[in-house]
Amino acid sequence: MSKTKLSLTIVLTLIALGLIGWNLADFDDNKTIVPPDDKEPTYQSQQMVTIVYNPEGQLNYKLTAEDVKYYATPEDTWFTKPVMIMYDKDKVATWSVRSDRAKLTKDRMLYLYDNVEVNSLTTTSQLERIKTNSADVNLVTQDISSDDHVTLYGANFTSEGMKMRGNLRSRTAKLIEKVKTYYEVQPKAGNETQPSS
Amino acid sequence: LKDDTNQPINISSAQQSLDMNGNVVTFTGDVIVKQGTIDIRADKVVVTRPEGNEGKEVVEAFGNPVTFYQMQDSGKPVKGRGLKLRYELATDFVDLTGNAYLEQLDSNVQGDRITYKVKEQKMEAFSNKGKRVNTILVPSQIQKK
Repeated sequence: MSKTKLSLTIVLTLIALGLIGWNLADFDDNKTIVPPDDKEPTYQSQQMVTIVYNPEGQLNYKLTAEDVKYYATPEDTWFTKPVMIMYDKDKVATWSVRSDRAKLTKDRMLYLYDNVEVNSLTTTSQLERIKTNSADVNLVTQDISSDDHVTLYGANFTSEGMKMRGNLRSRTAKLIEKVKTYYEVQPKAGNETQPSS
Repeated sequence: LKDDTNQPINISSAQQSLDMNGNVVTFTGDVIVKQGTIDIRADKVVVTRPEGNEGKEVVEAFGNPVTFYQMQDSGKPVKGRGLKLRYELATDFVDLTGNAYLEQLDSNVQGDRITYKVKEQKMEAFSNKGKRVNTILVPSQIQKK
């Protein structure tokens, strides 16, 4: 009886070995070398978080995105739904910049496309939100510029213009061409309209 | 109108720059400021909001000249002009300087500086030393309320 059991185990082990060998061989087959073509991103990641410090080691900005595609040839990085938080020298979050899509080029220019929104994260700023359809941010100088219709929302004022140039660090913004501004004035106390005589 | 100063201010211009730190907004390029019936036209307008609290804005308009228009409750419009106009929202105070001129119908006042309290519709005219304030009053129009 033990002989049949012995031969059975031998046969089984042989089959097992065969299977493993076949599996391994199969595994090697599909790693065919795909020629690198620059249409495809060199690498791609989901739920990316990038934290960038300036040379002095201070937190400069934090960039998160749902999807990132890095193309080696033009050295561009494309983000989907990026959100960038910018920090000032005492590590306080000052601005958040978001859009549907963005492209970061190697010369540290961030081009933002569709539903671009810049939000002030500090309460001191009179300027609360900038909305436009496309804008680009120079990450080194923090200059922001847009040649699209821009709307600025501030503490009870809104401004619109055709173009905008600004700097997020010095918190200045300049609207150019056909600028319209609307200041809301709260009726001062004791200033209600008296019936005119 | 007395109620003008409660109305929102609309400003249109060719360019506008905002300096968030100093709460200063500068409008340049044929600037039109409208608040209720008030209509100010200037080449450059600077709106400063001291310490950032609303309602205390100071509007300073510069032009060659700056023109000011407001319809009075009495139905008689007031027109003014000068090289510089300063309009303080908190005190509803208009200050025209630089050969200032203010007229209501045919009466007018000319001087180096004219101040005008929008709320009380009171006006004062000053001239530098050696120059005189010229006022032309047409009594018939003034009395008719």
